[in-house]
Amino acid sequence: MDYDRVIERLIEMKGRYDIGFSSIDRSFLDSLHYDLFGTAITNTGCSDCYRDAYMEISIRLKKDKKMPEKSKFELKPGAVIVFFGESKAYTNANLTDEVAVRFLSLNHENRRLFTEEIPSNWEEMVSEYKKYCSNDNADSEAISNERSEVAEKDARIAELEVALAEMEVAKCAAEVERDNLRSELAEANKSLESALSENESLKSSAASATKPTRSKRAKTENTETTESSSPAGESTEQTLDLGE
Amino acid sequence: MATTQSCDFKLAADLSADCANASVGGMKNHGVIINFDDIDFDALVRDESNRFLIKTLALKTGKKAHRVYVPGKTPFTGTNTALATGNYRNKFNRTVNLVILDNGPEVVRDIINPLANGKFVVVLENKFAGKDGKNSFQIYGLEQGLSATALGDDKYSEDTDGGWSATMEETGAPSPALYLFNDSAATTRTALESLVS
Repeated sequence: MDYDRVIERLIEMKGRYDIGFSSIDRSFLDSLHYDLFGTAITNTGCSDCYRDAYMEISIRLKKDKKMPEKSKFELKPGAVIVFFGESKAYTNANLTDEVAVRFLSLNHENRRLFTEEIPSNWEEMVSEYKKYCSNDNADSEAISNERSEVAEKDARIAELEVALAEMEVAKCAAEVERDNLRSELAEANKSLESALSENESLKSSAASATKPTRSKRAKTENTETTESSSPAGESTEQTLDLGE
Repeated sequence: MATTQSCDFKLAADLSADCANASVGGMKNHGVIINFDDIDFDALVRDESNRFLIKTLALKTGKKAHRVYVPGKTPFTGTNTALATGNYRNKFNRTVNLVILDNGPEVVRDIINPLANGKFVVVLENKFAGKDGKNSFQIYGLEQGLSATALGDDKYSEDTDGGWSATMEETGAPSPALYLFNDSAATTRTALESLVS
């Protein structure tokens, strides 16, 4: 079923969300849930389970905006693929072309677990796969070595991720401290500016207060300069007196 | 003189009880029922070392199995396997008891009428999974098919509350029991889910 038809059906079912889904709705939700998530709806005995499943399906479809892509290969109902040494099981819900070809490369007899819906050139695909990829049962020692290497690298990545997380925390703390210092500095600058401006205003007010005295002194100095007959010592004394 | 092929029926293990992992009687509430003719016997895979262990139970293209749910503390009560002695070889009869706690024209059309006349395979989950989970899923009817020997709708039954009860029997099965198990219990459960989806 295509995406638009599924959405249409879900919208139509919305009216029955509160009163309870019909058995046909439940069957539809069962198969849709399996197609999307590869698992059956858990605990189908309760009335809320199908409502939960409805929400889960709606959210997934709204997010993906498409139905999951299907493999060109189709397994028969009940058939399941498990590779030696791996825990993951593949059914039609999560089957990919690569998995199908890998499974067929193990034994051509595995073809009987697939329906007729497989590419006509599957044998070519298998021989191509065998040419470039190693079979999982062919060289298990090499694969187990590679797996242990991968596990080691994964562990190293996990360690580095922890270190990175710690550094992120330290960085955050440093940034907070920096911001605090900046705000303190800004406040200090502000108070400095206000002190300077106060200083300036005091200076200017002081200057304006001393202005008439200075003009008087200048006048006096001019008068003394014109009286050239008077002795230098006296003149100096008078100036000093005025300055006092 | 040419050698005649004969069957070896000699004991190969002690008849002991596992004290660390004691067995538990009974079955779980959910099972799967399959139309016998929908099974793809060509794709049936048995374990190479134990022919009573079925690894793959696949259906023909486009077919699907159906869920069976029986509530209560003793679901499928009366289900059993019994020896049927024969002149040359002993066989087994298996019985599976079901209840259908519903009724109506659709139920009769889609469930009761087919049950009355068809042949089926049922997979039920034992409470006792065994040490490695291989005892979990038991198959009934894979060899001869289960067919109804009793099917009734007792309106005043306190057990079925106006629903149906059915007794399905498989007679003359050569195997004492067949189990479904592929790699792990989880994988087997996934396979069962794919049967009904």
